[in-house]
Amino acid sequence: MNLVWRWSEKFPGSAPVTTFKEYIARVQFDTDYYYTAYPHATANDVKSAHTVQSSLNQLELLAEQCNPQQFADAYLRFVLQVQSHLGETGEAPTAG
Amino acid sequence: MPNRSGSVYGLTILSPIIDDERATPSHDLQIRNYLAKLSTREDSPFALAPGTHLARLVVMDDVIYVGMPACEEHLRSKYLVFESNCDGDLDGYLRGLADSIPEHLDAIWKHCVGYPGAANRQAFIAYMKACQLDTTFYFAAVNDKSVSETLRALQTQTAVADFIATHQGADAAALQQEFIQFVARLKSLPLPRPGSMDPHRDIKTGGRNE
Amino acid sequence: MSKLNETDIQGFVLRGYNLPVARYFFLHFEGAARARTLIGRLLSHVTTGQRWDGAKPQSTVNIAFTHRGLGRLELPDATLLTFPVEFQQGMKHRAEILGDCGVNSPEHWDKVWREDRVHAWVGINGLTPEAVDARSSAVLSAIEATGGAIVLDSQDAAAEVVQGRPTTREHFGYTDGFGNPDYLGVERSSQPGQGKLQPDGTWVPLATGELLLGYADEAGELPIAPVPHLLASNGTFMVYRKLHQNLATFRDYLEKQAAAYAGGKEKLAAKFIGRWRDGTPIELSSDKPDPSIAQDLNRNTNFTFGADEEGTRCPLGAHVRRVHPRDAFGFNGRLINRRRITRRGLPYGRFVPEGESVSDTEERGVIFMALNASLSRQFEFVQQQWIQYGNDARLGNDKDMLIGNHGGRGRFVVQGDESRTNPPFICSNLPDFVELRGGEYFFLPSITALGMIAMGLVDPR
Repeated sequence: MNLVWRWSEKFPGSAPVTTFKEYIARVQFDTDYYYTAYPHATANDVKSAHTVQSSLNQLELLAEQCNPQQFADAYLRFVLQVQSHLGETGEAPTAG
Repeated sequence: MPNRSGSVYGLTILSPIIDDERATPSHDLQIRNYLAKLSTREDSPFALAPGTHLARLVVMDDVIYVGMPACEEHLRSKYLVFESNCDGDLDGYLRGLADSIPEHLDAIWKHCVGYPGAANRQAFIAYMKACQLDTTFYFAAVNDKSVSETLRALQTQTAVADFIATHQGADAAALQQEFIQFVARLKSLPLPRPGSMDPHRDIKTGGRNE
Repeated sequence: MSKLNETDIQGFVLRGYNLPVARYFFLHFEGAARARTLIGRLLSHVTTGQRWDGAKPQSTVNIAFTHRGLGRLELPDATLLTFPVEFQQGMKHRAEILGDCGVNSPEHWDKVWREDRVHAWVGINGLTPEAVDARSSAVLSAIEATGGAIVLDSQDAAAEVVQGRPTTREHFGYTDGFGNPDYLGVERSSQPGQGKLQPDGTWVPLATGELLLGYADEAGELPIAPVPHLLASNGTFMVYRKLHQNLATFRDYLEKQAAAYAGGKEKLAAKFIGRWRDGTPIELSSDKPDPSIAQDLNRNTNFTFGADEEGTRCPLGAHVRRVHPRDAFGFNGRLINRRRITRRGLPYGRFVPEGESVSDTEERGVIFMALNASLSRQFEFVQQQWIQYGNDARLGNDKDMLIGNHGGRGRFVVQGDESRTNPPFICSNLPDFVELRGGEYFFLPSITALGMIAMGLVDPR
């Protein structure tokens, strides 16, 4: 933080943290209009979504070609790849 | 080149706002008013035009004086700041804006000095590029996927979670068949619209974008 | 730093009493002068943080105030207005921020919490119901004699007693009471895993100011506190939440899900929380509970998640992992150190053994109390960001499995591996296992501050 901000007028340093936050709040511009194509997803969600898509694409390639037992094994591996990327997306908590 | 991170482009446009004391309300207020009423959802102009991941518009009044010992300085004009994280190529993106949402562009930028209007594509693109600031440092967490690819992936993520949950303990043959059908159905689903808020949740959010 | 003045701090703050019975009175003050007289009378009952040489007392008393209570006591405006904003607003007003909506929203709360009349909490803890009754009588006598308050409501709570001995189990069958943080200067039997993590893997106490007002917190700053300094110092803020537990729904859900889970019922129950029901952390024993770990103070909270990044031992969304991520967010755990809380409280309602029929409508649950120097930075943050949301754990919008308000939707993912008894598993259509029935934010003053309040000496000059 200090390396980026030290050139700014009267920057108080990033520690202690409260004066840093107050400085930022004072000098920030309020946004008049903000649009996101993914209002229900954070950056983490988007990264996870791409992981799931890519794993699904790979599994799809195998699906038609193997027998049910082989597919079941591949499917388990697929689930293990995506199991920490399945968080639901939706509205986030209010900032208050 | 710092404006790009992978295939995503970090665009910053800084346009001086017309300063005319005879205009009431003033030009900067007219922009603020227009933006306050503009939808941020699937009918946002940036959802209708292609290629926008994130867009931000700020009417910059003046720099903030934080008190001694900083020097007091002032901008010579008010500025409209437009920031966009968009897909790929700048000319293509700007042309896409001019083609899809000319009336919104005009409604906002007509309050800016020297704006030629969106009808003349060349003049519009030249104007935007003249106002462009080069990004000094651009980091995009996901920098190699287009808007469509990301919308598709988010749709897939939800559908896959549902599939896995409903097929626990399924026998191998049925699982394979149902998986093949699932993938076909998923492909046939329409792409979710950018800016749309599904799935809906109970928790209230404050403000338009929180 | 120098030792804390334990006689100036209410005992409830510094250590859990391990007294198995409790009664909490909720008071409404009638007239400032008479209320102050009442507080003066109760002062002689209030238990301080002084260590008990020899046996525990039969019962203890502690007292805390809501913001409106302090207003009714006619504390100066300058004092009232310098309390943190969230305390001034009160917990009901913060419902949207806390995710207390749907079945948890204030319109469903018990009457005493729906109305805005609670001014004070008087907490009595005791060794036996008789001891609590005796102390309650004394407190009620003081209330009657001074005419300083009316009792709006009371809440009884008690640990489950099995073969004559109190347990630390709550109604879903989990052994509770682990993980309260260590703080600099607070003397108690300390366990590795309770403090903050150091780069070399050892644990050291947290800054005193994470618990007590008037001391530096983990960021080296003093948390927001009212003026005068003497009123705030050695005090803290207390969150009180009555959490009803739908025991029938929980047992039913666990039974049905376990039927499809190859690891079996007890393992699935362990995956929800991150500890087996006897308290063994699943990070330390992934296949079965282990009493030698669960009962060993040096081990039962001494673990990290660094070697389990995928959540295959302890799921990413398990309760203990959500509320105390330890090293799971990187940076040697530094992102966690300002998000810790001290928990007190006891279960309430009749305990029913497994196999006996039970109904969700019966009054039972846990009285959840949390102590922290900053409500918004500590409790509210954890409740909003780590319980009712999952982004920091990279779980999107998924809520805490046991206490999230799911409303019948929502999922809990048990990450697994290729072994037969640890498969990946998804629990869906989560019901509301826990419902909020009310609560509030309280200020728990030091003994000095209580004296100042009682004598009308609060003056921010």
